[in-house]
Amino acid sequence: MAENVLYPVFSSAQKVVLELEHITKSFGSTQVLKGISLSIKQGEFITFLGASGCGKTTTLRIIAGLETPDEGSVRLNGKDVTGLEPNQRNVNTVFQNYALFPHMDVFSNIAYGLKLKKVPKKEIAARVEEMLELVQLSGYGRRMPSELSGGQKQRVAIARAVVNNPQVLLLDEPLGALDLQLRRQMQVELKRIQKRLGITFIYITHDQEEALNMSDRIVVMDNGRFEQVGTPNEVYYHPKTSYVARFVGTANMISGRLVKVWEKIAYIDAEIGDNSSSWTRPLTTEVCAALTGEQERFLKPGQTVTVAVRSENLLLQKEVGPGLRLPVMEKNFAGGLLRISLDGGKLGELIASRQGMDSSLVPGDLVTASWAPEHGIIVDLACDEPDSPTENRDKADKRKEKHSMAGDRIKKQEGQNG
Amino acid sequence: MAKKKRNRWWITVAPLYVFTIFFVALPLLYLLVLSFMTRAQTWGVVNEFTLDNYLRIGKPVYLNTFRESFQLAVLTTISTLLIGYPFGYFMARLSKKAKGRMMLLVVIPFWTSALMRMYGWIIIFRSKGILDKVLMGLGITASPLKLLYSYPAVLVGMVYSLLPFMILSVYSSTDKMDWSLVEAARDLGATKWRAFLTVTLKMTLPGILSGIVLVFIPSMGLFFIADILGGGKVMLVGNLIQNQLQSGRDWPFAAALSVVLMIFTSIMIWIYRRAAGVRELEGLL
Repeated sequence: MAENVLYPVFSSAQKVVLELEHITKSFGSTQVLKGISLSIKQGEFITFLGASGCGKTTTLRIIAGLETPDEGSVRLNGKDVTGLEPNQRNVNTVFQNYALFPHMDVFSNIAYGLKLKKVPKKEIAARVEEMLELVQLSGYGRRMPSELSGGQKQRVAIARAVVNNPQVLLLDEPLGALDLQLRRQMQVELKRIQKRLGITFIYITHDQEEALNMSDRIVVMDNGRFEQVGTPNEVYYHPKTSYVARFVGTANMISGRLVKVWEKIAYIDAEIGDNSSSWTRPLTTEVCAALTGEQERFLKPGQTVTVAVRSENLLLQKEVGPGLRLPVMEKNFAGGLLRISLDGGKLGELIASRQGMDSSLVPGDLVTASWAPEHGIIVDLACDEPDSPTENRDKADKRKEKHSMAGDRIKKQEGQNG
Repeated sequence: MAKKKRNRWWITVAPLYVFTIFFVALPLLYLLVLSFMTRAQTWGVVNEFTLDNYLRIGKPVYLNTFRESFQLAVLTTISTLLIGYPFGYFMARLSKKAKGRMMLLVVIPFWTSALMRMYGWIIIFRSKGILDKVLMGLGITASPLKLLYSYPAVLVGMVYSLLPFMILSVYSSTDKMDWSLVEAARDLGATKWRAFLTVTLKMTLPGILSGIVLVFIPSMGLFFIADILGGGKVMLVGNLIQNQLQSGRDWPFAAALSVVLMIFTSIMIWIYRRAAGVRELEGLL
């Protein structure tokens, strides 16, 4: 209960704490951010997920004030902070390499921000002590950073940022340098700290497992734009684009021509084409995918579509049946999963994964690969009809960069969705 | 095999020991022995033990020389620090290409004789020299400043010749700085100036300290700058030693002066290290 004095629990969970509006940023001739917009609610755990170089760290640095965007604005609690210095915004960062001051002990590191704010000495001591307790490092105050292990440094870095009671805590791949076991442990701990303090966390990672485990919402980034913004569930089960489907989990992409839509299920002729192997295969095979109501309205027979199927949802059987008839290329076992790769002809390699390592299949076997309709997800579908009220945020983003729509309209749409 | 190797480890370090014994330890020992001998009437030294050389240093005229040298050395060190720190700091923040060019410019003076460069200053400082012409031409001064053969001229010469050491020391420690520490300080609420004072300055302290040592020690002993730009008006310990050795031909006294100077600078460095609480001066001491 003691923490309630210093960190009031926020009841207004719907309050927007941070807004990014159409932010662009270039370094030299490379545009690293191509107009991103997002609003983040109080107490949310948001993860920016993407490969290195996708612009996620730049986004974080812009929020922290360590970089200035070329265009667009950052609003903190409704106040425009775009031009403000890092020390003028109530946002703190946990840096990737911890960036602990090597010439100060743990106590002074954590007290640094409070000292600058001229907090009375007694209160500083109490708050630092409380923080040390929170990150389970009580009694480590007099240690120097060089005497700490990686995990301990990480905890100090978190304590040093959190003690300032920021409105938003930014974490730049904070667990990147830790080993797997420690990482899992720290994931749980970070989540615990976030829940207890009720601070908004913006977390950066390239590790999809971390993102899926910890986040309230995930922002999948690629090449300076948002591919998808959604809950871990949405991102995992309903990827909007092939990039998201590939990045989050292992997904197979099957493209083909839409034949018909019947009862929310799309029937697609997948183009396998001929290949050089000794057996002949049909040019196309009919496969299926589930549709959302929204997608249904935009699809027209004859259109080319891409279906994403997760490797664990790809069912293989030796018997001939409905589905893609493909030869097994190889099997390998890694991380508790058996991965069976199939020669998909024009579709490229398809991968099916199984728990355990038992499988009677051997390379060269012909199998039928199929999936339940609900496991086929249509991706990369541009729902481009103007002024659709059902559009959600990330689509608005996509449209913006395509058509450079006016920022205020996007904002309105975001408001509706947020 | 292992045993053989252990027995012959000294082969690799032997040259180092030989060199150190012959070129460092023996000359120092010779100097020490010399300082306790008596000066011969005409030329050379007589093998007669005496403490007179050291007692002579206690005379006010010589003590004064030590005091003046110390003052000039401190003044030189402070001046090089004030100029060299910003120089080295901003040099380290340049782009890689610009850094290389700047480094070249800092080092180029070393390619010419230090003596020549001092004569260059004479051309600038002498009455109606370049400096006077410029200042008078601009109407800033009415008559020649008569800067040559003055204390300020010696100070300028000292600062000029020792500045690169300070610049390079500060540069090397600034170049190694982890700038994310400054970003962390800024992020935690420090202004640019505050972040500099609490983080950058502390992190570059080893460079500052080694710069101070590299400038302070030579500035106690340098004599040709005071000779050329001071015109005999400024007498430093270095000049005194040189005089006693050459024109005075009093080798034992010169040796005693050198020994005292060495002890003095060692004590200064020791005090400084204790005060600053730094054990490593960029691997210098």
